[in-house]
Parts: sequence; C-alpha cells; structure tokens
Amino acid sequence: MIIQTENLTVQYGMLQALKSVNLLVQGGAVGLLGPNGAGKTTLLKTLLGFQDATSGSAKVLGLDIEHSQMEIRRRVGYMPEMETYIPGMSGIGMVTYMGQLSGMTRTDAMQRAHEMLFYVGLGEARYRDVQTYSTGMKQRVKLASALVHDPDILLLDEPTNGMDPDGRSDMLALVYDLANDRGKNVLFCSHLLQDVEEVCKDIQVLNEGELRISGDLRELKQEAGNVYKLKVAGDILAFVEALRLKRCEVEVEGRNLKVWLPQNTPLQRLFEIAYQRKIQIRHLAPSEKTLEEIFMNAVKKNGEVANADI
Amino acid sequence: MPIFEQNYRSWDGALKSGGIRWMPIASVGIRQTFKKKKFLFFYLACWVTFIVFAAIMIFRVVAPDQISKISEFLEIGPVFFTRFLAIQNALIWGMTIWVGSNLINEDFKSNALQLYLSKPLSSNDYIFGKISIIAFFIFSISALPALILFILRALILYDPKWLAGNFWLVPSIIVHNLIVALVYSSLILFFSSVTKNSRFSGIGFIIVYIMSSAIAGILYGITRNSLFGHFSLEHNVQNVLALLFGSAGMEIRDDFARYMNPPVSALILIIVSMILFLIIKKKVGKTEVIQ
Repeated sequence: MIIQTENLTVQYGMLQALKSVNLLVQGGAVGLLGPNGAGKTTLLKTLLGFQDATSGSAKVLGLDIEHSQMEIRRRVGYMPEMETYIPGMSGIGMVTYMGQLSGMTRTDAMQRAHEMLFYVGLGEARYRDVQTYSTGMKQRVKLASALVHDPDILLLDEPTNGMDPDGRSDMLALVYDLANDRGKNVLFCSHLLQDVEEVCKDIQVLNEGELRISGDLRELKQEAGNVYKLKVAGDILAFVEALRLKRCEVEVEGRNLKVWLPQNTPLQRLFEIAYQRKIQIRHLAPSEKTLEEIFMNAVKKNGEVANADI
Repeated sequence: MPIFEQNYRSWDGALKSGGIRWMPIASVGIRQTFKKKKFLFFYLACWVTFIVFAAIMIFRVVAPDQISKISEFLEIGPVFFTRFLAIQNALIWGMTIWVGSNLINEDFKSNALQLYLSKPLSSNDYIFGKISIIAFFIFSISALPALILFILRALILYDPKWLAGNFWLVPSIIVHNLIVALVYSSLILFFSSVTKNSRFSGIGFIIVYIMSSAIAGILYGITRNSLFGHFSLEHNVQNVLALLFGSAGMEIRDDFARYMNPPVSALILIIVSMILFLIIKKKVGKTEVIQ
C-alpha cells in the first residue's frame, strides 16, 4: 500500500475541500480523476504536508503524514500543476539544485540532473535559462526535478497542462515508461480522462471532496450482467421488438444495438431471436463502459453532471 | 527516437537525512549572486576601504615616526577597527538591498516555493537559507576584512601585548556583524515577502532606514527624550557598535544617539528581527503554498 487515507478531511474556513476520504492506492500507475475543484490538488498537498488535515489520518509509504513529513518528501517526487521554476537558473542548474535540496551531494545531483534532462528530452536545452523555456519544456523540467532523487512515488499534478499534442504524447509516454517499465509508483492527477486512460491501470475519482469510485480500470469498465454491443443488418425494429418481448433492454443507435440480456439468459438466445427475425449479426462483443461513462456516473449529483473537461 | 528510450537509471546513492538542510539554498544563492557582473563590480568596490586601511597599516610599518604625529585615527586599535566597521555599515545596507530585495518575491512570482517545500525542507530552513545568503555578503565585506586587518596587524607588527590587550576585538567584530546581518536581512526579507517587485522591497528598506532616523530625530528634537532615539534603525545599529567596542564605539555615534542606552538598542533590534522573522515565516508558510 503506497498511499492510505482514513476519513481524511480538509477544511478551508467553511469549505470542506476533502470530506472523510478513505483512499487506498496499491502501487503502479493510478489516476486521480475529478472535475476542477474536486479536491485532487488539496489531496496531494495534504499528503506532502503543505496543508494540515482537519481530521482523519493518512500514510504515504507507511509513513504518517503528520509525523514524518521530511521522510515522505525525501521519498516522493512532486510535479506541481502551476508553472514553477527557479528564477535565473538554467535547466541543469535548477535540476541539480533540486537534487541538492533532496539530500544529494552536488556532484551526484549534477550527474543525475544531466541524465534526467536527457531522459525527459531536454538534453539539448539543458544550459538554457528556464525562464526562456516554452510551457512544454517547463513541464519537462518539472518532471526532471521531481525525478532527480529517484523517488519511490511520483505525484504528478496535471502533467500535460499547456502542452501541444506532440509534447502531451511524449509526456504520457514518459509517465507510462516510468510506471510500467521502471517500476515507479505514479499518482497521476488529471481532469483529462484520455490522459489517465492511456497511462493508468487503477483510478480514483474525486468529486466535491468525496471519493466516488476507486478500483481497477478494466474491472470498472466491465458492465454488470450480460451486456453486448451488436451491429446488425435487416429489420431492426422487428428485432428490437422481439428482444423487448423476451425482457431484454435495448438501446438503438442506427444499426448499432446495446442489449442487456436478462440474468441467466444464454447468449444463444440472442442468436435464436436474430435467426427467427432474419437478422444478420455482423458484429458482437461484450459491452464495456467507457471511462467517460464511468466518470460521468461518478460525478453525477441529483441528475446533474459536474463541470468536467472530457 | 521516442524520448523514453533515453534510459532511466535508478540512483542507488544515499540521500543525506539530517544535517544542514538550508546549506544548498545558501551556497547556490551566493553563486547565483556572484554571476551578476554589476554586482561583482560593486562587491569589489566594497573592498576599497579594506585596501585603504591596510595601506595605512603598512604605512605605519614603513614610516612609524612620521605617522605617530598625524592622527589618533591611524593608531591601530579599537578606534581603527570601529571606524572601519562604521564605514562598512554604510555599504552593508546597499549590499543588503542588492542581494536581498528579490530573494523571496522572485520565488513567489515563479511559484518556486512549491518546488522548495516539496523537498525535505521546512519553511524555517528556507528562510534561514535566504538569510544566510545576505549574512554571507555582509560578513564578507565587513567582518572578514576587519578580521584580516586584525591578523595583518598581528603579523606585521608582532606585539604580544597589543594582541592580548586587543583580542576582544575579534568576538566584538563577529557579534556586531551577526546582529547587523540579523537585522538587515530580516528587514529586507520582510519587504521581499510582502511586495511583488524587488524595487519596492528595496525602496521599503531605504524608507525604513532613512525615515526611522528622521522620525527619531524629530521626536528627540521636540521632546529631548533620548528614548525616541530607539525608533531609529541606524542609531540602534550605532549603539550596538558602542556596546561592543566600548569608548571607541561611543565616539562615532551621532549626537542624540550618545544619550541612548546601547543594551536597549541591541534588545530592540533582536526583538524587531524576531517579529519580522515570524511575519516572513507566515508569508512563506502554508498559505503561500496553497495559493
């Protein structure tokens, strides 16, 4: 367990930013999803000790956030959401400095900074002043700064913010590589569902300070019950009517159908009905929810959907 | 070639877990400051006083008979060192403004605090690192040359009696610089933490330095009460010099500062510095990181 929170509550004045959040993060790449203002950044900052918890507790790598802040920060790499840099420094200077602040000697930090800047694709620009970097380059130098001391966990807050499509794709490839090939634990905090889907195997969805959904993305995508997606040719209306008579739920979108078979009804039944109605089934696959659907269901409140960028 | 094919290697070295966590802030800050050419010129100019005083000292060795008639100023003793420090005090505040006015507000502007505080570093470490940068430069143009002059005197005119009789100057020089560094750095960092522009923090520092003396002078002129002299930053600093250097320090004070109480001045400076430090800590602390 790399991150565990128990009834974690954070309050800013009258506003509860986190409401009794019970989070379990096992490891690997985990996406922390939520619309703007859901409490994602507050959670990260509380884990790092920037913000005190009003009540509840949390552990990072088994270390209590209240009593072991320095040890946690030594073992965590944090990439903030905002544009951050050390003014007046070159890329290599900044990453070396971050290594030194993490407890590395200057020589080690310098050597490692070179490696990390090459790794994130800033090898050629490492002697340039960071203030002259583009937004995408600033994101990369932030990642290098978070990685320089080889942390056990990476907390990435909106790492693809402000990046062009190529840069975004490179950044996602880097995060994927870190999580899947280099064995790093990554908490990938974003409101961009596509980014999370590309990189993470587990997700946690926060909305209005509450943890709404958590778990393996593949499992969450599986529909409950016998649900299939079909593409058919023939008299669709008659086919749909026949299915409904057999107590199947059906959604129709042109020639595409989504069919919920009643419990314990074998798939064979579907083929029989199709055969009786002279329908050609040209495609059939078990239905999976999209991350968008999972997210929408998670953030629904009184039939409304919170403002999210999808 | 996709960039991730540039290999990521794990690092198996050990991270320092204790020790002086603010040291990288100080060392990197000092190096960064020395990289500015204009600053380097100013810094070297601050050593001109040292060269002049060292020349006087050497002149005494070369022509001791002529010099003895000229002035008490040329006697190498407490007065000599006190005057040297008094001259350097005037340069110190210029140095403080140059070095310290952008130390915190630049970090606010670039959101760098999040980077600092995500590392194993407390807000105290951060502030102490910044204070150390200013203190280094103050020491290096004031205490360091004064101590070199002292060593020079001891070496070129070796006199055990002089050494024994004047050795108290060494701790006095160091303590004087410590107090000045504490006061000036906390004041400039206070302005740097409450203003967004380094010019404003420099102006704020100058206004406090000049206005506090002006107000103290006006109040003293009206009331003739020397207690009002303690409103003045400059005169409190002069009094610390008097406290540490005895009669030699007393002489260089301005008129009304002569009636002020030196220990009270030292206490006021320390209390003011502590209050400023707490304000800076509050500004640098969690609220700034949360935004």
